[in-house]
Amino acid sequence: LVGFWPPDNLQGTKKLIYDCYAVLSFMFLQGVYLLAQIADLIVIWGDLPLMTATSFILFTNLAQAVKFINLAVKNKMIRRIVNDCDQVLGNVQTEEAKRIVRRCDKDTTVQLVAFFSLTLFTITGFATSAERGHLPLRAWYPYDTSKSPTYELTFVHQVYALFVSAFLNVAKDTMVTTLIAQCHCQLKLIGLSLRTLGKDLEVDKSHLLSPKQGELIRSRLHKCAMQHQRALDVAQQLQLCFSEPTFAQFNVSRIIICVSAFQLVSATNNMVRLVSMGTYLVNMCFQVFLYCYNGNQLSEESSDISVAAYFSPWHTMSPSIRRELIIIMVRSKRIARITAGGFTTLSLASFMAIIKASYSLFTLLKQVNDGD
Amino acid sequence: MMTKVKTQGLVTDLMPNIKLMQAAGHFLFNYHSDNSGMSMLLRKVYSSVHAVLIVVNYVCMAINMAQYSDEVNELTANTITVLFFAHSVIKLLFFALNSKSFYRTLAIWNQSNSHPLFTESDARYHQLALTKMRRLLYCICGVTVLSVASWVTLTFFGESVRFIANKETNETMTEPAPRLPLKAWYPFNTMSGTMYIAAFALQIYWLLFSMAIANLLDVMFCSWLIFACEQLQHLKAIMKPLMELSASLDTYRPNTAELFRASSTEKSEKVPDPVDLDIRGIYSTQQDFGITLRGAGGKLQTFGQPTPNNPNGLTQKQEMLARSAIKYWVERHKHVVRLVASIGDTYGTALLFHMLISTITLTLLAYQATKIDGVNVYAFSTLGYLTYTLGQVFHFCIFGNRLIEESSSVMEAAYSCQWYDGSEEAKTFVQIVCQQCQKAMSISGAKFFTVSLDLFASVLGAVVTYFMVLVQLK
Repeated sequence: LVGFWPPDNLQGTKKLIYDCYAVLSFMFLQGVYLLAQIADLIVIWGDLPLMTATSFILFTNLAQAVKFINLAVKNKMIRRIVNDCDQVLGNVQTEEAKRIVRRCDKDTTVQLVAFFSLTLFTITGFATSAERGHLPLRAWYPYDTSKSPTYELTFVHQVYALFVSAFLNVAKDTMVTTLIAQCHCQLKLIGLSLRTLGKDLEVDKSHLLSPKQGELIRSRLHKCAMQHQRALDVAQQLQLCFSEPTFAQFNVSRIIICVSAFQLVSATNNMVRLVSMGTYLVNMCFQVFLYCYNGNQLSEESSDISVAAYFSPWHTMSPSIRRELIIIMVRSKRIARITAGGFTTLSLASFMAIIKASYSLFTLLKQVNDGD
Repeated sequence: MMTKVKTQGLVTDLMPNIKLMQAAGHFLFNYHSDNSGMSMLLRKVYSSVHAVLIVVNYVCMAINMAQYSDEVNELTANTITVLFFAHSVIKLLFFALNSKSFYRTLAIWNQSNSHPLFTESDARYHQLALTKMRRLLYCICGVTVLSVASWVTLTFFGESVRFIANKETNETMTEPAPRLPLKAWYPFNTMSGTMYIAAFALQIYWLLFSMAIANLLDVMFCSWLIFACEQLQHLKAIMKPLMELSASLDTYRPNTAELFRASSTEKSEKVPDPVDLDIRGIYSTQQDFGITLRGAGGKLQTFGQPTPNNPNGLTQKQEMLARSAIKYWVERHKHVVRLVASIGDTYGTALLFHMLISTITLTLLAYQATKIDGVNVYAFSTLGYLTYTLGQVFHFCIFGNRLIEESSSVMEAAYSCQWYDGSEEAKTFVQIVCQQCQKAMSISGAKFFTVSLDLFASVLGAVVTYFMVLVQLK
């Protein structure tokens, strides 16, 4: 809609026009905003409460800008991942597999809806919390904003930019997290097919499979191994595509959470503002949580492949088939992780670490402020 | 005459625990012998009455806390008490909401496989588990009763006052308060008279039941872990005979004459009679059982004529015996893995809540502990709270740790048997088991942390550090 995801069939000059539109849109939404806020920051340097008031939106927008750039650059690769995932998940056959896909789908939808509604709530709170004659968010403009019609124009620009960029943010984040969740779903399906390796095969009293049954199991196992390779490949590509923006997001989130908490504590007398700051804080935490939760699910599921292989009726298989199973188990010992810039893996433990780091920054900020 | 309810598996083992939980007012409605509508209704009413009383008293305590929140010391003390009993309310609610998954976990062990060679070992470890579970239950019940008794006794010492902050002079004064075990707001005057006795009795009942509710649920969790650990011990114990059984595929040779006699009879029947392949049939001969009677197992290489179907030198019956034993081992291990997964799913969130509340409680207690100035009621109550809270955390950490150790030592047991004498099948069996058991089975608190002694150590370390820092700041 806003120029960032060109439809598949744009070619040639049309594409160029679309790209220009994208750049313009970006400038209008983000660029103006960023510049204004950075200028404001420079003007009020040293006054902590005011600084925090400006910076909490500024940093979010910075992170967004990074993500936009990343999206534009890695467009093709991302598109390919999306298509591949769609294909794999759409081809499931058995009832059990369909149920797994449906449940994963429901999980991601719930996350999306929660994130969306939180954002909606926060933004509405912000927009309506503006005091008479003041703009909702602090920024420095080269003209005087208290006179109308400049006041009205700037107000409208801020509100519009706020809404659209917030929803874009939601969309971008949920795209990444949903892709990770889809990879997790793929691995779950592989686990299912490993567990039911001996489905519909009657084992006779010698507790050993007949050679013909053994061949059938072997072909099923080979299919599983190929699927496993493909899923791990997808995880690798996700890592390549989204590692840097996630790193930027995490660093920014640390600062944002601490700054929003500070804003919340040095409360203004505006009730709506207080509530919307609170929900903003929750929103930011939820954003980071979404990434970490999905990354954690992916890692866990990749190590569960080994358990799924163990749950297959391997004691009925001949040693040569067992050895193939062992190779799969050995590979799944090394978990598939998504890292943020190579520094932190996406996991619930790193989520706790981010919260702790923000909290320490917050206490530090409070100390510095109280000391002044 | 009430018929004895037919229970199996874990439910039979945990029956005393279950009965106590039903008595304490948990919403546990299965496992009664008499399931008619009337008694079901009565039980539901019983549980609801308990729940209502507990929650109402808890709310009264919270109101009291809000009322007297001006003075810091009073506020801290009240907050600690409120948090302390939050465990009970949360566990009561948690069980009521999650009773289905509790029933599912209890039912997991209803059908377990068996093997004639290993029944004796199975029974022995089952008995061990049972003894340990009973002992734990008695111990925790004793501790609960003791705590309630000491709490009530402590109420009668010291001054029965509460601290109020004087708004003008900004110093703390004392105001007389009712001598009750817990500070709570009641709509009637409890300073003296019949109301005082009624409130006292209510509080004793409340103390006993809420502590029992929280502790019994923890005991159930730990009993499950004990059971899983003893099953793992059983599996480790039968690993050696199992390996000898399949090592016999190459090297077992009990008695030359016996072997020749056996092989001559086996050679005559190319295809064994299908009816005879029943497990009982396989183990009917002395020779087949000779392996277990043999203790150390034969180590002589058999150079007798190889039977036509098996190049390993073993009769078909012995091969099937070895395979069925491996199948028993693997199925039993998978069953234990399923049990542990179910335990983790059922109780993980409760552990998360418990740890969250305990962390906050312990932080406040560390602060309170810096104000101890002598051997008085204050010191005893603070130390009492501290030891009880740490004890609760230690209780499930130690059993979680044991599970981790046991499950990872299965791999060592698999390696330390004589796998090099075994057949190809035995060797790949050892390989797969080693792969699977390298990663220990652990209980996680909703994936945020692992329940182990590391957790307890970090909690204890944090409390001590906090206490030291606060003492320095004074």
